[in-house]
Amino acid sequence: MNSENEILTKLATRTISYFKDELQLNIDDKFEISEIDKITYLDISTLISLSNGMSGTVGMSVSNELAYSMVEGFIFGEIDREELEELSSENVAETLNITLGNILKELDVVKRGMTIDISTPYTMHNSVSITKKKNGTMLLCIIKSNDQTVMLSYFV
Amino acid sequence: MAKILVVDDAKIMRANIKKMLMSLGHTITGEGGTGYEGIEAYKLFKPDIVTMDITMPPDNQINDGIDAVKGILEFDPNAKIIMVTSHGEQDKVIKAIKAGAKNYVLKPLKVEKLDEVIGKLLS
Repeated sequence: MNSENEILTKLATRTISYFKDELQLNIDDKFEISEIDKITYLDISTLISLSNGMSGTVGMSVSNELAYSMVEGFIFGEIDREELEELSSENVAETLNITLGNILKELDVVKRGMTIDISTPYTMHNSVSITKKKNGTMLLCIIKSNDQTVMLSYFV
Repeated sequence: MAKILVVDDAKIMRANIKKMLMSLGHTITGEGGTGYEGIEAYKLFKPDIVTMDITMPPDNQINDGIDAVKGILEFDPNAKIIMVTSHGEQDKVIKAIKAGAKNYVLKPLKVEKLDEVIGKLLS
């Protein structure tokens, strides 16, 4: 498995366990990774850049509805609607930050002694599209959760 | 019960930590969104304990939570600081502990673990 597929595979696996165990959300166990030329993201999307041992950008994108459910699962105790809406985009960023952080040490490149630095998350609102660079790589992983979609992506 | 300062650049993390701490009966004495804000809030509020995120954006030459630990300990060598970190940040945790942080908790946070770590610091 190449490093691009490896990071997305491990991130998808960790995302599934995170949704089930930490957010108490239903999510499919199955996922597929495909090479694409263009990504059209959903309502809330977060990107984190990788540097040092691995380069590229990892992304997570969800609908507003799923983002709200993720906040309800994440926050300890009760939460009102205003707080829910205020925190939903940041929670997508935090989810990717946590799950990506969790899997870094499992990557072959890190096991070989290299380090991978991750940027602070950059979050986008509304649907935006990103096209693959010439000679670049762009991978997409789709996971279904509560009739909604979690999109994980990697591009370089 | 303790007066606690919560430092994290993510508002949702601060909200979550505050809800957990308040459910345990602690008082939130202040909060900060960068390491620099954490140092300034510490000087202002003099909390019993600080929860400190490790990775935060730079602010006034304080680059992350590790720099903030050093800044707080310069002001108060007896400060009790708990680092909040992800699994992939072991190297940074070691640096933070060497800098003087007392303990750490892993994200995703569990209220039971937070209670245990704070209990040890207060005892």
